[in-house]
Amino acid sequence: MKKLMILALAALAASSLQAQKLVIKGSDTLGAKLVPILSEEYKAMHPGVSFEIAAEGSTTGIAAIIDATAQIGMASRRAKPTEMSAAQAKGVSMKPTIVAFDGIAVIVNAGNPISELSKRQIEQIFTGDVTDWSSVGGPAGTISIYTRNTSSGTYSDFKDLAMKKRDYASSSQKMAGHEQIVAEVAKNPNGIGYVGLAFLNEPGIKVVSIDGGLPNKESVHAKKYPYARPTFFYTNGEPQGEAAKFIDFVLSDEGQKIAEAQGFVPLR
Amino acid sequence: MFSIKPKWMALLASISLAISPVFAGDSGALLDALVRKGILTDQEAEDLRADLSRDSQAFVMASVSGGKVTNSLALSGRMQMQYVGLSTDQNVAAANQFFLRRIYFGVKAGVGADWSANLNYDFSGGNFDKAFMEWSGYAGATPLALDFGLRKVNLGYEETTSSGSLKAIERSPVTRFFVEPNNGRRLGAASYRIGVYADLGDANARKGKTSGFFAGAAVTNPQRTETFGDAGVDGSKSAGGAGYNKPAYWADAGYSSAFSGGKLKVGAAVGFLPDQGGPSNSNIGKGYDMSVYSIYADLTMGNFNLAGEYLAATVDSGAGVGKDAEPSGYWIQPSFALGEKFEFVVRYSSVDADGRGVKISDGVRSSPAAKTGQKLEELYAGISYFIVPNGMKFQVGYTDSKLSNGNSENGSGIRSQFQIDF
Repeated sequence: MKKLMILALAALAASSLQAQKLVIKGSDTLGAKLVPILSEEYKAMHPGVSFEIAAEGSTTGIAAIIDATAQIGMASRRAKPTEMSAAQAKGVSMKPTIVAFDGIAVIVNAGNPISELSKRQIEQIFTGDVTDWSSVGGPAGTISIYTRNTSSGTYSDFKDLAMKKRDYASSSQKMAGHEQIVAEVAKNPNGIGYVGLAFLNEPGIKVVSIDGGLPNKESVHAKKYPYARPTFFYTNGEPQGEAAKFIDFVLSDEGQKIAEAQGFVPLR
Repeated sequence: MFSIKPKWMALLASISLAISPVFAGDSGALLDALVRKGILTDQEAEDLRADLSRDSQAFVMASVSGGKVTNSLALSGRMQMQYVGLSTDQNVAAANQFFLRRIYFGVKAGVGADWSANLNYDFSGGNFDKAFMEWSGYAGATPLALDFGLRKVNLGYEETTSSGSLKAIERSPVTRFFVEPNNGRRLGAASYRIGVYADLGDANARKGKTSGFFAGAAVTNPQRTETFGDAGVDGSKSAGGAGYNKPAYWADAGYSSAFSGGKLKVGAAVGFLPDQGGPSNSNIGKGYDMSVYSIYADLTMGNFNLAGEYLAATVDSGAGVGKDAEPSGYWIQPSFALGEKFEFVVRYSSVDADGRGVKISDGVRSSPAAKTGQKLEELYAGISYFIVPNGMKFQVGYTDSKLSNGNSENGSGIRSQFQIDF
């Protein structure tokens, strides 16, 4: 009986050693849809691997690598100098791997007659310099601005790419995820917001062209769409073990096809 | 770890030479151009960016830091020049002069992963506006900041609004009566203190920039003690002396909400200052306590803003030994922004000193005053012209003040200010 118990415990220990768990935290852009789908595909090929995915913003992903609470940190923005130095202070070497490209699409309510805005007008709207649609060629109505929250990489990317790093309008409403922005803009005729390309296939919204250009695979690859950006997996140094294998899968043709199917722009 | 190939080594060397006096972020345009020309892949550029960022951090540490773990350094400043033309209907000299109201120079240094040092010195007033060390982290999932040193306590909405953002140039008579140093009439019941501070919640919610709850608590010296040195052999250099040995306790809480077309912020604060009461500032340390309270609200709807605050206090023997005082007051301030260049503001404030006494000069900065009454009212109407939004502005306004209840005195005049933030 005693031997049986020891054998059982040994088998349990062996099985738990075999079960690899990948903890992935960070960007809502990547973590809301794409990475869960990639992880399901990967699990189908590697049954012993499990995933814990938390999509609460790029800041949390980068912090998770610095604090060693995740093997992969998802980010839709680059690590800031202060984060790089915080990592250095803890002996962590932040290694970015580009996993796909994205364009930040500016969306308005489907009933809004506005279909094109200039980069200058986008800056004026999101900083609050302009507060009424009539100032940018639309019908009169107070503009309602929906943005991501401050832990989001998209929040800071948009500030850098579209707002000359100025502050958002104080009236802007900060949402926990892209899906919430889509939902708010879809029900508010005066709403405007921005989302990653993966979140555009929803009713009630439409994409605004920026200086005549729309975000798509061609304009992002050609670096012509002004609000295009890479998305990243951050690791502590070169990825190791199961994390390296998962990243290889994401970068493979199969992984990139999944990314494209989810609305991202593939690397190749 | 990134291994340097010959092509990259040449690039790294040239980029490093180009950016050595500045930060790695400035190399971004060059890297982008190299990617566009097909010389680097996106991933190669990204690896270079990360390496350059690490190198630039080492450069900053070696070049501008006294401490080896300093990882960021931010400088800031503010200059304000005022003109006042203020007088009263009594036989007292008017104020008619230019002066430099504030000359701020500030430094914030990030140290390690979670700590920073914050200094801001006012060369005009000859004292620190802030001097504290801060730890920033989380209590569970809630942001938490712990400050150690000199800063303002979280009491008085107008008082804790940045001096660069005051729509009526100076703070209201009620704010000044409650928070400015105790002169026997004013209470000296908030503002700058040395102590330990805990601020819970998103800092942007406290600033009204995002929705959320915020709260704070602090234990501080009971008054602003200007002496930063030790007590000295005989105690003569003590940071306040025996009257200042009982710490003051502070707490506040509030909520900010952003909604379609506007935002609302509400909050309340309380402070308890043992030994700081009494009928005059020579009675400090004699067992008379003081408590102070504040509630406030700030509503923005489109270009319209309405803010206001009610302040009250109980001062043991504040109106004479054995006669407690309960001063109170409020201010209310509607304003309207006309585009991004102009903002019009009106502010009414009223102070009831409840037997403690108040002079026009206690409430209206730089104003002359002759008499002491029990009620002070002020009406300010002015305009701000934003020459460079968020950077440079000119403000001018007319102030009309009235002292009553006991003695009467009427004051009026012009105040203007030119300000640059950098």
